[in-house]
Amino acid sequence: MKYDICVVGSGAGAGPIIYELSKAGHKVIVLEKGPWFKTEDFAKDEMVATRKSVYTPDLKDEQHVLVQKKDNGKYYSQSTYSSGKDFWNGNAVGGSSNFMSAYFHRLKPVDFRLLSEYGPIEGANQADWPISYDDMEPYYAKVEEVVGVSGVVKNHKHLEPRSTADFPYPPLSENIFSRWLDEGAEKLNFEIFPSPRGIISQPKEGRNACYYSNFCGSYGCSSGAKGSARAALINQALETGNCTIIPNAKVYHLETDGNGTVVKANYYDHSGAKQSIEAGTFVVAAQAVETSRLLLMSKNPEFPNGLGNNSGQVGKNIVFSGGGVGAGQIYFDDLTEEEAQRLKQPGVFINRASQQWYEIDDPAFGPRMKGGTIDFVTEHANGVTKAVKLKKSHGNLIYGSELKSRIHDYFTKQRKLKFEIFVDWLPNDNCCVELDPEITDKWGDPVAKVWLGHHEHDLKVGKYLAEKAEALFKQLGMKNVNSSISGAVSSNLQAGGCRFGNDPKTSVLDKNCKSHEVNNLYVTDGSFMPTGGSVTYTFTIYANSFRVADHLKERLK
Amino acid sequence: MDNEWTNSRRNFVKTLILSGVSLQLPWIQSCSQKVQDIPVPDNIEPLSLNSFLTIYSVMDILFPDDGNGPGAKQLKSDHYFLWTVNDPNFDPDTRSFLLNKLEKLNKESLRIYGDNFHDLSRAQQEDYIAELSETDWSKGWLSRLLTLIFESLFVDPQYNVNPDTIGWKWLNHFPGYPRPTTQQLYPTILNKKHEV
Repeated sequence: MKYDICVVGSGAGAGPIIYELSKAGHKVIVLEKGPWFKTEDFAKDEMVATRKSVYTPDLKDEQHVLVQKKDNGKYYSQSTYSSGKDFWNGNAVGGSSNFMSAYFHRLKPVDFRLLSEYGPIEGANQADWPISYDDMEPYYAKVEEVVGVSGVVKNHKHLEPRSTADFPYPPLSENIFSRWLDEGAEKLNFEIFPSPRGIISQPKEGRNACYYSNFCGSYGCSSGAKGSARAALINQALETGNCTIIPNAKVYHLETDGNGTVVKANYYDHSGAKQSIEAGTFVVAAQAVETSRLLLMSKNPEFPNGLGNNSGQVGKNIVFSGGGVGAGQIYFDDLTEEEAQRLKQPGVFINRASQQWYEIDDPAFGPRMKGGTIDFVTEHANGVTKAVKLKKSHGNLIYGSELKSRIHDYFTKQRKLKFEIFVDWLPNDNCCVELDPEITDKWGDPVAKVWLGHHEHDLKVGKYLAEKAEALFKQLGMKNVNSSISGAVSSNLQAGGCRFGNDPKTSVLDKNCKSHEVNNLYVTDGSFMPTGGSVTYTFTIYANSFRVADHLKERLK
Repeated sequence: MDNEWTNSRRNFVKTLILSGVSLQLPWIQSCSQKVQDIPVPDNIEPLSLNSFLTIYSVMDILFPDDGNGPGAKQLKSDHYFLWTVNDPNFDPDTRSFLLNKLEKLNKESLRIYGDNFHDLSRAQQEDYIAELSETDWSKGWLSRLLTLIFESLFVDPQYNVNPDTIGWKWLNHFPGYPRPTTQQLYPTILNKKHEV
């Protein structure tokens, strides 16, 4: 059978394509590398969610090679199997959107024209997007409605233009710390606003409202409230009868006909046997690193450098999210009994953010430049993760009664509240994806070798924002306030590698996310982004995929 | 249940003696009181009895029953160690690391003290662990054991650790709901992972 659309991957970049094209009556086949967990399969089990490789591949079967800069300025490579540092995010139907925390900030108009707005920075490869915020805005609104975004719009200095007055779902319940943040911010003339979340606060089409489980990020949602591509879009697509999902299907090669048209997706099935799917249009959304890897692996005489890569741009200019984290502690002894009980309340959210310095116009700091976002969050409830951080002090192992006291005090006498800083990860020549020449996966294919070089400018901006956030925490009387801004990578925040643009020599995709060089190949995960903005990517990936879906519906009429 | 175990374990010790494990005889005599105090599961594969008693004793030093909440023995961290190294999905390199360093600790204890680790006095055990916590070959291993103890402190009691949620109660830890059903527990959940 020849399908209308073959989609590789099923996460945020794939979900809107699957949803919209299935509903439009097209026959859609989805090849998902991971298994198919349903909402009823998800429980709150730290063992399954974080201690074992249940939602990610076993590293001895599938690994990455990471190339990082050391203090001596040189780059060194190490496989993740060797280091034990997993670079996967969630391989399953719905992709890593199953396991996201779902902070859904839109990009701002300036994010679409970073280069022309702020000028070049030496050593960085910024590029303007070939579309504007106005082109994307209707699709942000669509995501808010279809996927479901909760919150309340509050005007602030960098609030992006909106076609709708407010979010479709009321805000989620909040911890008392949110109120304290509001009060502290007012004293400092610090502008904060409620964070929108891709989590519904009221039931919607077979999905239940959030029930405040206390275990959200890294965990599959047991109510369907979290707007994963699986719960919010793919389940709806399946109801049309036009959508077929093949889980445990690892695509390793896209085959062309010699005339610039993809005709087959070749994949390994659950048993490791080679299979193929024929379709009229192919959409790749395997998450940025793996998408570049697949195109680079899909070499043939027509595309000797990889599919759609005669420009040599595939895998270039990968971006992550710049910034870092900070924290402060509140001790229950410093509170009234009632305040302490309310602070301890599990499950409810902080949901506060600041974009006061989304653009920094501070002569004391330097010329006007792009800033970023501060999100205020609770420490994750994972017990093991918290305890592991307590077993060392200044590099020395702590154990015995000293360790037990330390753990008991940490869990029973205080709460740690955190802030996360998001700034642009400037694209640069040292951040890219290649095929590793030596290490292969369990099928014998080369694994992705990911260069993780960052630009020093990102750290400068990150530290500026961290100082602001630290000041707010100190204003609240919090103890042990600190922050860490670095070039360390969050593997769940990845984009770029197949940037879109108008010039086929400097970009992989056109403005509709179709390959410049291939007639029927689209890429709809975060790969298209020439720059990433200063917020997490999922909301924009969803919105762009809805935008491309509209284009595809027109094209396939 | 405890009586059944005691009988079973006594029989095991008898078998060792009768089977002529001659080198073990002095050890059995010298540590008889200690052995009586340590509940040995029926199946301790792939560990020898000696290794099992050592891991039990090391974990007891790392996370003692000191009156401040449960220790490793109440949490059944030793069972968890066995479960972990018997997990066919567990990384083979990490498994070898855990077992090889355990064997090395036993050998070093014999070399330095002329005795098995679990036969040393509590003070000697504490001194030796303090030394090992700063020694290159062993500090990573001890750190890894602590992580296993933490897992036995925080994961669901259905994994046969953290009995009666003693770890959660001690730390006022809210585990999140729904708790896993038997079908959702690791490694059963992996069946779902491989479902076609």
